[in-house]
Amino acid sequence: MWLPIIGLIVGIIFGSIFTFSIPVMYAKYMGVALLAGLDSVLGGVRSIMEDSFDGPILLTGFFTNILLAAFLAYVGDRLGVELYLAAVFAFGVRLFHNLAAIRRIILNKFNHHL
Amino acid sequence: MKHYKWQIPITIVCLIFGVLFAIQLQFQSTKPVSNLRNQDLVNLIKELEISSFSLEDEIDNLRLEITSFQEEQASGEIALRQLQRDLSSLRDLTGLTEQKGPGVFFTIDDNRAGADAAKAASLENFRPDDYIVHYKNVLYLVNELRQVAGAVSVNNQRIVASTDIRCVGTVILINTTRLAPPYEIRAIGDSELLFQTITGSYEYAYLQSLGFPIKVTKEQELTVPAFRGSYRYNFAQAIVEEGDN
Repeated sequence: MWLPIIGLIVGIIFGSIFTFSIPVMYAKYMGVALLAGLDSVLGGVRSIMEDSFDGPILLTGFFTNILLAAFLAYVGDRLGVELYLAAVFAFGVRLFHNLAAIRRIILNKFNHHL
Repeated sequence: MKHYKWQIPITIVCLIFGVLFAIQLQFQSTKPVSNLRNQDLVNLIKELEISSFSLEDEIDNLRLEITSFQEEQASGEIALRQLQRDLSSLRDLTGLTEQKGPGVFFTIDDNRAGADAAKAASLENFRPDDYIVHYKNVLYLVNELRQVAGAVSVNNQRIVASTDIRCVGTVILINTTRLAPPYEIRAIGDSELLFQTITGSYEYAYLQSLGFPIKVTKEQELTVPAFRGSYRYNFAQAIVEEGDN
């Protein structure tokens, strides 16, 4: 139960200690990738709660989402179409969707315990 | 170990996410407005481009105007030459140029010999005012000359329209310059006519009769200096007729 949270904290500490300098022009892609990553994390949490968790799906989903989101934003910039907005929108909607599902599951469990 | 199964992948994902999150956070906190500033700069460039376009249009228009002016110049030059001729004759008339030509030169000084003689004869009856040249003597003589002379000067002070010959104590003020005797008067014009005008004037006869040393000579070449003062009419304005242009 606590392992993922510890992992998250360790990751944040790691990222804070090592100073990576990202070129300014890639900062936007990084942000989109981050959003995709957050979506994957929440999707994983949700699948655990729904007892439909699959490790390989989560891992592949996480990496492909991140890379695809950043790549799409980059291609969009090359083509002059603000494609990163599509990524932000899609992952944003899914993020809230996952959050809502998690909330519902927790509420249901809580009600059952009562 | 059902729990163990899901913990590893989600931990890996969380770890990587944490790293990415921290990096991005770090980056955004050091350069929070970089994107905004970029956009500002882009807008600035666009604005400058627009303004440079309009300036280029203005340059085009001005060049066209210059061309049309240059075409007009051929006809304008004739008018300009006429105007310059008018201007130079006006400058001559207003005494702003040095003038040269034939005329008369005469000097007048205080009657020192007469004064000394009168003082020696009787000190009580001696009146020094009778033996010095007064401003009105100079004024009358100049007035006689002005009606026939082209240019008149007194001790290198040009007599112009605004010239004032006044008494200031023991000296005479002409064109705001104080002059002392002897007074050298130069007049350019017909030297014969000027000579007769001077010698035939009442003032000349009067001064000569009193014994003032007065000397008149006809000159072939005289130089009268230019007026160095300023014409300043702050209140008077010329009335311009409509359509006079």
